[in-house]
Amino acid sequence: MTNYPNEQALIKQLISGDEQAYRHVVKNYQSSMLYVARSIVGTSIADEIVQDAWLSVIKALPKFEGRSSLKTWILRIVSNSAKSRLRKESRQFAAGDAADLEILSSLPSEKFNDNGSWATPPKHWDIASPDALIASEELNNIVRRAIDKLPSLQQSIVTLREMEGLKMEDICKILEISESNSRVLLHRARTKIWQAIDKHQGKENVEL
Amino acid sequence: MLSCKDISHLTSEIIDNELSFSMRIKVKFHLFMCHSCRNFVKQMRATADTLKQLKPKQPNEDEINQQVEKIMGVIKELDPTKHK
Ligand SMILES: [Zn+2]
Repeated sequence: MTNYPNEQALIKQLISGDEQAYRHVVKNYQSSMLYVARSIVGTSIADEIVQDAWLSVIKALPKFEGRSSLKTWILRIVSNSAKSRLRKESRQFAAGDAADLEILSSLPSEKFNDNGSWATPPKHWDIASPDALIASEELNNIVRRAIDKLPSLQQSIVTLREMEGLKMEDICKILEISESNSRVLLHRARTKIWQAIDKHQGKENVEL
Repeated sequence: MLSCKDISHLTSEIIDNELSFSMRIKVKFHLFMCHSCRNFVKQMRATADTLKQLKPKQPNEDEINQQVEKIMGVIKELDPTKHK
């Protein structure tokens, strides 16, 4: 697969209509585009929104000024397509899990005593370092499955912020959520993934 | 005094270094006293770091081909002189 020395080179190729360049962008951006679309309009029309967004991207590329990364710019176009669709259908922007934001923790309350101390303290993890967690194929799959089970907004935040390393500020603009909401959602997502890993820890020993 | 439950709410702010100075002192004090929370923060940090190392999902070869084909179709439609 072609490598691009910098984004400028990639953009030039995209504007010229180079198929390889589009292949590169689809491979690396399409999943995030879908996450963003799903977070805003839901699963059923997310794919349509992504197609709308591609059309806008192709048309607007010659005017791209490079003030953000190409990916951030494209994701913002997805977000705008999704939001304008909602407006057209005069639907409210109702991000799936914005409603239950007030429930701060995603840890079940029975984890704690009434005085707020641990009722069941976190157990020891046999596989504890990120490297070891990544190296274990089983845990890797468990983490991926846990991500797939998250509400779409949390999926977007985990993907864009943790895996893709986008700035929280940009993510908030793309998903149209406040900085404090984004933090709460990231925390809940991480806590749920922690639970998934935790559940699996020590299992081998039990089964022996 | 912060409770363990409070710490469990603050864990992401702890690992992302987003706490105010006064809060940081309170958290430090609790963590100094509480082995369980130290453990929890460590595991949550490992969880976040694991996510950072995880490769983002990519569409499969078929999905990529389909999408690229659609895009190339649009490009030709918009500008018939442009195609490779
Ligand atoms: Zn504690």
